[in-house]
Amino acid sequence: MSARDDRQSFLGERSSAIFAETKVAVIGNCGGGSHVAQQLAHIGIGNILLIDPDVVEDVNLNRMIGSCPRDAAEGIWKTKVLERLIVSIQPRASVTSFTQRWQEVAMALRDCTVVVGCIDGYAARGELEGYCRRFLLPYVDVGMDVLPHSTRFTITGQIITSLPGRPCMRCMGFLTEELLANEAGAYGAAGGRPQVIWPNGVLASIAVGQIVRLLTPWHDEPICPYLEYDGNRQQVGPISRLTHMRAGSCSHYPGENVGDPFWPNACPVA
Amino acid sequence: MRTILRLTDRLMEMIHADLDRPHAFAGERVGFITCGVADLPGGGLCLYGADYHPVADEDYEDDARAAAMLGSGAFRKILQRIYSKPASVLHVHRHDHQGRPGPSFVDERESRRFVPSFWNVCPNHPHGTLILSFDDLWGALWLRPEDPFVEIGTCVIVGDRTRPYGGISDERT
Repeated sequence: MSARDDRQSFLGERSSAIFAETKVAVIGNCGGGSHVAQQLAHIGIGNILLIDPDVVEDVNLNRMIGSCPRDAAEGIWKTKVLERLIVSIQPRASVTSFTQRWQEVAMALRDCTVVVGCIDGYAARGELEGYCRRFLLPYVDVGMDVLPHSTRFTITGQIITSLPGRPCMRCMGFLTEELLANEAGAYGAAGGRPQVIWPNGVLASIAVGQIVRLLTPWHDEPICPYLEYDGNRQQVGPISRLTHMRAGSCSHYPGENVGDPFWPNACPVA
Repeated sequence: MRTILRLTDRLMEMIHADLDRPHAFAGERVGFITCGVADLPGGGLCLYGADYHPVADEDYEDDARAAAMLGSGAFRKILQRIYSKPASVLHVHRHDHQGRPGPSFVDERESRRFVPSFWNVCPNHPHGTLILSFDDLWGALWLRPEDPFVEIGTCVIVGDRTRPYGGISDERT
């Protein structure tokens, strides 16, 4: 174990080798995703896949780790900013980036160890989780929201660890038909959503903790699948009603629906 | 050729629980895993464990030539399953020890006998065999009946602890 990993040696004698071999996809590379990518680099994750179709803009500079005004002025891809950041932290990291929607490069996810989604929207999350279920990929969802009230605001967020064969985001009550219908009804009217850096940092840090727990468990507590963030009280905790679901299964993604449904006549995807 | 097998820890627990059960006369139990398949980026194949199909008590034959000799009923059932819904099939059994298992002479001989029958009903899918130990595994795939088998390069158990076997990270705890 090298000196740079000395302080995380409690994660296991082989943790450095495991991290070096691991491939994590980070989908959505701004507020939450940039924190996640930075921490993955520090931990020593050897292979990082970055996917985001957007360039840096001025409105991103309040929260995107690694970005600077020049990136926004020059319209640099968000993936490129994070690639630069990761390599500066861990020069040996293998970073692959795609400046498309993840659906256009979905095949690239298939040999990942874990997929992290830092994307907006309920439908989009459900779609990504569905893909991960089909290809037996652990999916960690990170998201935050700022909700206006009459004279105040409430910051909320969640870290959901969705493991194949276990309760999904629908089972957990995070994705509901009502939410999806409301989102579809408001399509095109969303505008710029309020986002700030510190909740993203809290949520991303916990998500990275979940990933490390999946790979090198330093304790025996089962993974809590749904952690909720109360940004006003600055608290994160498990959704208590889900405690009984840890051992449960999922009826939304039957175990037999795995692999490419069209194989061996799969459509070539980038 | 790069090959990966992905199984959930729940499926692995189910398999071990079945293989743990003693049989009236067979020396060991066996079963079948049906798998989905997908191409991997950059080439190669990944198999995804979909379901486990234990062999029923009555489908074992009392035959001293092998610890578990299967009757025609066992194969008919799994062949019916992949005929109605095409899938890859992995024959699975366990060597009761710790550490990396490997195929015995009997394993190789019997695999070469029965694996080609899977192509009769599901000719486009790879089929093979998986040997478990208490804490590790070894697998082989035949991509075509006439070709030699390909060892499964990496097996990833997905769950509370997501761990790859094979390659550098073959943790066995």
